[in-house]
Amino acid sequence: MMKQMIRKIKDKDILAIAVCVITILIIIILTKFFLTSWTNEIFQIQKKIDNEEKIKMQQLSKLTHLKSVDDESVKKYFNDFEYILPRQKNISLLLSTIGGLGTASGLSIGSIKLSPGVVYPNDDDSKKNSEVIETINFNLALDGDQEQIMNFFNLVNNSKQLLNLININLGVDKENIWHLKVEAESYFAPLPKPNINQMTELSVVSKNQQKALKQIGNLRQLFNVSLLISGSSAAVLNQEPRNPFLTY
Amino acid sequence: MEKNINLALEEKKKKFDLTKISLYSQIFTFITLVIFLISSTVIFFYRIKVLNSLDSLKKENETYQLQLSNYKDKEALYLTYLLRLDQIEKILSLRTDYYQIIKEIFNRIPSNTSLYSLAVDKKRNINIKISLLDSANLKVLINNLNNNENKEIVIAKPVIQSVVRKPDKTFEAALSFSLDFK
Repeated sequence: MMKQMIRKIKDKDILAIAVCVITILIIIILTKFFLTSWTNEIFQIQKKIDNEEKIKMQQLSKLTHLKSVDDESVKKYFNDFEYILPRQKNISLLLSTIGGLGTASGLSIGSIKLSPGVVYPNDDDSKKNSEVIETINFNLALDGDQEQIMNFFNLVNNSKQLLNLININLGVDKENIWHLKVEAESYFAPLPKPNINQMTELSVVSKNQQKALKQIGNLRQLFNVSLLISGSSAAVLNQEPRNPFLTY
Repeated sequence: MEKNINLALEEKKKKFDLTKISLYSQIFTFITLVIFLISSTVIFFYRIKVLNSLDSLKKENETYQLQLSNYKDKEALYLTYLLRLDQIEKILSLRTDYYQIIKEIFNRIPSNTSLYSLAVDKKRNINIKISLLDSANLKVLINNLNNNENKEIVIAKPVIQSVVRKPDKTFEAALSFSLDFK
């Protein structure tokens, strides 16, 4: 009788232990399959939330930025761009810029030589690579005095159309007339095509872009002034250098 | 004899007390189960909460996207404007200030010395031809060219290419050097 009792108790304990072990196993399995997957899912969702938050911040800042952008002033800059960096080979603009430089500096233009190559009357911007800045090389021969030559160099720096002098040759004859031969280049480029998507960041004007804006600002002021004033008085020279061409 | 056998059995019984093991395992299982249930409930509801916030964020972003679509043209205009400024700055960075260069060269040429030819190339290599009253002026010129103290434009490697004495006892010299902005 006692033995049977003990066996029953033992069986009950073993059964309880077995049930516990099975329960623990089930918990482990459930944890493995459900809790782990839920937790992983939560991590994934959290990542998505972070991404969405980032997008939200970008969009919000973009919206604020765009609301603050003054369309009209930006459009005005596009008018300036047409002179500063034309979209197409604009030979008449280049010739008028060179002529303007000659007039404003007071130099007489001996010759202008340029080889612009093929010029399409109706250039299709969309077919061009917007990143490429193309050049038109030209040669100039100018005559005048020292002040006029110095005016010319100064005016080139402040020319409404971007010009870059590559090589210069300066000489003086016995009559003290300066002869300047210049190899230079002007630029044109189709309007860049921005890649706009949800993630496109709308940055504020960078330091380099500010430099360009400053130059445009200067040009806006100088352009009209330099073309209105003729000859030597057009110079915005700070100090006159010594004239080493004067014969002793 | 019987007593001895019974005693040994009792010791074994103490070592493997199934009732105690059963009790401990039940307590352990209960605690585990409670922890499991609590954590599952928490995780479940947190998951729902997180999903809801993701949905609301997506909806919010859709609204912003819609608002932004009204500014699409303005955005394109503004980005084009920034890219154009980049292009302009790129060209400006290539520019050499010939006004400053020429002014600097003129200022370094001493009196009694006449410059009659000057050539500058895009690498800022400069060739000059000068006329001198006497050879001493050449030394002054070289000193001036080498003196870069407190100067924004630095002249480097002045080389005298040739010196010719003319029948009128004046000298003609050809020099080359390079220069850079500080």
